[in-house]
Amino acid sequence: MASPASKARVGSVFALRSPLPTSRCDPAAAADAPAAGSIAHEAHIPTNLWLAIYLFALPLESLPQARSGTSRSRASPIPVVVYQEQGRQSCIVDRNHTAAELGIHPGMSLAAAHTLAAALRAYPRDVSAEQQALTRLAAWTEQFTPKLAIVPPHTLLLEIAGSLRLFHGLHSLLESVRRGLLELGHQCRLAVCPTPLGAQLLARADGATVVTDIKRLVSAVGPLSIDYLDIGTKGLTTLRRSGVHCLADLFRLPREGLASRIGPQLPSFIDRLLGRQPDPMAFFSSAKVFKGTLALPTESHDANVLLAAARQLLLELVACLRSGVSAVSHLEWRLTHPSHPPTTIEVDAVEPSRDADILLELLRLKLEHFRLIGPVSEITLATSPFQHHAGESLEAIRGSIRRQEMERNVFLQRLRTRLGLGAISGIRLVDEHRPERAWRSCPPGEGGGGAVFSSRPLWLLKPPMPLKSRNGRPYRNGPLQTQPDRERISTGWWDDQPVDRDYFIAHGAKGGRYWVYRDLRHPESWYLHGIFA
Amino acid sequence: MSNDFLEHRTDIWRGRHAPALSRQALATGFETLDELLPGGGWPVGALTEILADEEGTGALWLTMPALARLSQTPRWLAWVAPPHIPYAPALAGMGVDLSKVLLIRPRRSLDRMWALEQALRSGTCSAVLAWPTEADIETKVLRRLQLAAEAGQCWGVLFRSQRAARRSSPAALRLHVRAFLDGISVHVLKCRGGWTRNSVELRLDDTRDPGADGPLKDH
Repeated sequence: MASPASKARVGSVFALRSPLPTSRCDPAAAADAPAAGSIAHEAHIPTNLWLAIYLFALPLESLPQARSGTSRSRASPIPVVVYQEQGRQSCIVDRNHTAAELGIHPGMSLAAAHTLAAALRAYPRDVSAEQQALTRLAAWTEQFTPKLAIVPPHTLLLEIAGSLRLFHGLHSLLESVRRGLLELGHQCRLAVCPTPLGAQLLARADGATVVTDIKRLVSAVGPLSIDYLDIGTKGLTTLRRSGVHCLADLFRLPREGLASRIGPQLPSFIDRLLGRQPDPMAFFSSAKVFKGTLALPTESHDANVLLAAARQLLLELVACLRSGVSAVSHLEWRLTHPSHPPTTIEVDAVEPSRDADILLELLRLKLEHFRLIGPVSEITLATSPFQHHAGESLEAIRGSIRRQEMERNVFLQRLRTRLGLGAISGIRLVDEHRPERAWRSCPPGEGGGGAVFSSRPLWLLKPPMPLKSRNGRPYRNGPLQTQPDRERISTGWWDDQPVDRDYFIAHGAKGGRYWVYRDLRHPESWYLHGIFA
Repeated sequence: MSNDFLEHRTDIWRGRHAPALSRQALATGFETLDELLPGGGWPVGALTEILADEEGTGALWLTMPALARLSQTPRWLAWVAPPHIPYAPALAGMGVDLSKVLLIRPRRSLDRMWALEQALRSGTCSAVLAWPTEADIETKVLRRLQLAAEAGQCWGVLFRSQRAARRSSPAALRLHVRAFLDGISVHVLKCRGGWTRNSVELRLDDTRDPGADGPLKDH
């Protein structure tokens, strides 16, 4: 189901299949199975515990109240459906209780629904209203935890391990969430699991499943249908042909095969699902920002006067940050001149900060390289949205951490100021079989992620360097001796940059080791792609 | 001037009876190489030069086990003006935490030396790797860099061509690496606090974890 909302998925969350799966797997199997994990064991609470809130009725609930008369109209005597254009057909995406009793179900065509219910009321789906509702509800759930993520189209993910005591245990927390959402007119299915993906899958499959022990994870998610995976009909067909119907079947297959036949994301998805690999989330924060303006006592050129005023604003900012558990990473300073257009100075901290001294030091470094066009009368500070700040419990040992943070920030700021933004970066992994795409640059400090391959060279050449070929062998300052083992990389047929290559390790005359490939589309053409430095 | 003062100078040659310098060493991850080096590893707070005949001979690979350990600490691993793209899958495969990798690519020669000195001196980098051109480097510059590495308590590694062997250098350690079929041979050209001019051969499958008790040894 290609819902428009699915495009808005949070990047770090491997997309699950869209809202209401037209599951062709035996639903009974999916529903029965998690029962094994349904019994809550609160004795051992892992460090991370995720609550997934699956708002399965959001399409219906997002209709203007006048039409649906709130979700209570699920029980209204008039059959109501929400439909969506799919190709030339209109398909049902949601329906109320009365419509369901008449046999109308998601995935059915609108025409078929009309034949089942003469008095049917049909409304087109309003995806943007659903998104707004989801964002509103995310802001509402901030009362339970500061760590929460939106997983479009219909799921909220809350990290609740730290909130259990405050809410007197898991069951009372779940009850508060469920009751609160009902009052707001939303039905939901809840599931709790040590990994975010696990919680999502369980909430969508059944709900009311609680897994607190990571050891029980495999048995809890194993029986779920593979229909919940977003790997396209083609991938699903391939899996089904190999006799894979539920996740447990999938877990038994070798990673390499899965990666090459379905796509490189799948093994990593499984690792994150089962908690073998971390699954970082882009946390939601209800977009709080700070904006403040201060008039200088007199118009001034003097950097010290500016900094004193800036400090004042920063102290106000920090007070706001501390009232929530927040920090900021991007500041925009605007200097108003009486006789010129304003000057804007942007300051980026390496990591989100809530420390007035650090933020002030960063501004001071910027000002050092700045020629003011005229005296300044007023100074304004605006911030990027507040971000979640990790742990206040660190306050005690913050002395040394703060100094390190300060030094890291100041060091990077100094490099950026002299060398330019583009000269400084980090690197990270990307789940990709094409070697040139298996990495990308990223802001410093954000590296990580992705799959690791063995036998890769430490240097990569960009672009690959064409090599001369003599008698069918690569040549670079003398013939290169290729080793017999080759690695075939043949992938990328789904986009416009397919590769078909045989990679070899080759030795140069002086003993250097190189990573070379032969392009199978143009035999006899050799390239140098990496160096085992 | 008391002897104490001299004791703490690290740039004075003391012959083979060098007193135990309170210098930290960083296990290389290769037992046979550790045995060859004074302090039992890479010198921290000093420059190391690794000279090679050509690019694919394993000079960078030699530093990997130590870099992997250092990446577990909070400071940066800075790469100043690397000649190619440091390939993330290979680094991660060798155990380097990529979130600590900081690439600095200045365009001008002047900026390269400036960035290198800043990185060594800042105290925010556990290791600084650099690929200076021979035009970038004069002995005077090297001495400044050596002092910067001391100030920042960081392991500075310069990768240079084997031609640099003819020129003198204040680096604490100078090695020459050559490749053979399934390994590299490491020849110690100079090491401060040691007397050796020895060689050791390392095989490509030789890497091991440089000790679970942390990479730093006090000498």
